[in-house]
Amino acid sequence: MDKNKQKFLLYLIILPAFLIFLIFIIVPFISGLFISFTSWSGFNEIKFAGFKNFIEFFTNKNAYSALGRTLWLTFVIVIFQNITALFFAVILEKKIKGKDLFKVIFFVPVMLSSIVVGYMWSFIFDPMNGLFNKLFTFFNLSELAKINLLGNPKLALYTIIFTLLWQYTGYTMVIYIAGLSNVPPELNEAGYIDGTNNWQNFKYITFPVIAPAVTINILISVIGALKLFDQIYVMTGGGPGRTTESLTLLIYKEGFGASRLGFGTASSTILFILVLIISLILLTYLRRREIY
Amino acid sequence: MKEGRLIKKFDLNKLLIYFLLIITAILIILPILFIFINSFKGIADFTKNVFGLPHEIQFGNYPLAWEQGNFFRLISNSLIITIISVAALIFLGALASYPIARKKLFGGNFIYVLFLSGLMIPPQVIAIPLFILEKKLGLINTLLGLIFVYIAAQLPITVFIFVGFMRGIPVEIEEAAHIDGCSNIGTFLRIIFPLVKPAIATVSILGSLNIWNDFFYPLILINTRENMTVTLGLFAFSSFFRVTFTNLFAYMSSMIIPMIILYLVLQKFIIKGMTAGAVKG
Repeated sequence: MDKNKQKFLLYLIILPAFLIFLIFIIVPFISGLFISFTSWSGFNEIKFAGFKNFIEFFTNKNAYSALGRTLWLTFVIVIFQNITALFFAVILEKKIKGKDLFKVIFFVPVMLSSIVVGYMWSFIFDPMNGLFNKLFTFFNLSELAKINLLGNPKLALYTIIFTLLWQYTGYTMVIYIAGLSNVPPELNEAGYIDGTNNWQNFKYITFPVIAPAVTINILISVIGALKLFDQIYVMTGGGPGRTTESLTLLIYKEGFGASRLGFGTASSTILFILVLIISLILLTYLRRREIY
Repeated sequence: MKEGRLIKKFDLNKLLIYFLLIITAILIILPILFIFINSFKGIADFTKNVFGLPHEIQFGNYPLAWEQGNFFRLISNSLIITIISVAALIFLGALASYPIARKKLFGGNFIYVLFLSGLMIPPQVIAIPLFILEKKLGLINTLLGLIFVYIAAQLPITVFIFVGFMRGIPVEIEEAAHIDGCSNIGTFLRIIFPLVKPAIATVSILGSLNIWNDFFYPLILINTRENMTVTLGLFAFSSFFRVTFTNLFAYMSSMIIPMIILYLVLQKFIIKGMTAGAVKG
């Protein structure tokens, strides 16, 4: 009897956290799945619509372009963020004067709110009073000064990507540094004795040892890029035209602007499937490379 | 001859590395400094003189931003939300993680996996139904509504960190407590909870930063000026009529400066906490 009571107590202490999680994450998640198969606007009667929203998603140019754009920006961010971060991590792992200072500085943007960073760069890129404009004007490069980095349909997306790299590369770098500190120096020395060069040492010794850090960093940057919203929302609002509209922005506009809840939640479902598939593929593929 | 060339090459490398490091450091500090310095300029001074120091230091942007932007009210909202959410996260999260990590419970693993699945649900996936739910529950436009959402949204990573940490504690310690007649709850409170202090530190740092800096949940759940968080407040302030760049800079600096001071004081602690959360997996 006492044992049963103890068991009951153990379930009881899971309960508060579990209930909050259930009500505010799982319930909305499942009702979202449900709504995505309806044509609900929030006011009318809920009517089952089958796969209509999903078919519309893949035939509506705005929607599928947002999906493609999200995939592309994720790809670019993940590649650049990880390469840059790993590069700086390798440098700052070495015995270099002032490396702690650089580490502290590179991490500063991680502390800032994404919306503050978004505004900050909007002002810097501002075509009238921005730092870039004045800088080019100062050097008499009026052609360059006229470029509106956030207003140009071809450049705006990359301008936003740049601000993201500015903000989050420090975080990725610090995780790589933690991973690199696990590499025993003897291994590298053994390599040098066997006649390897720096690059070979990195490829055959360092990289396999930091594989867990690679996994976690790629996963964090992928999920972070897929759910990117704040910076786009405050810097361009998806514009000019729809050239920076991501899936997250589409969801927000459809759900909260156009009140097309069915279509909005269908887009949400697609975003979730995307996160799920990419995470699972990455986890199985990257975990296989890990030696520990 | 050969050696001489090697030394020269090495120095050049080092020079190049320092050059890169310094350029990057400038690239990171300069934008923040730009906002800060320009927050002390009048708008006329700003348009004529973007780069330089203010011709005449003006503090006027600050009272205006604080008053019109309702800054102190919103800062207290953010503080209240962050502190209560993080306290609840530590307490409820640790409580829930203990049986998952240490006891063989029927369904325990299922509950754990369910919690972890939350890591793969971005806020935008649940945004629309969450809005409807909070409206039905009367939680829309309330701080409490945000607090619940933040606890729920941060629980997956919190449980993940706690469970990982608790599994690393030797079983013998617990067994000894049981032999001495300690109940499950007693063991948790007296033995496990004090031992997971590093996990608590990680959870607090990660949770505070995520919640304090969040913009999306307030955007969809709050639309009254009194109950906004400071991030949403910046957004609202920026769309006010006649708010100038320099006014906004003052508002942004008021958000940035305390954060940077806090960071400089606690930087070792913060960087460690943020990486521990990621690497423990």
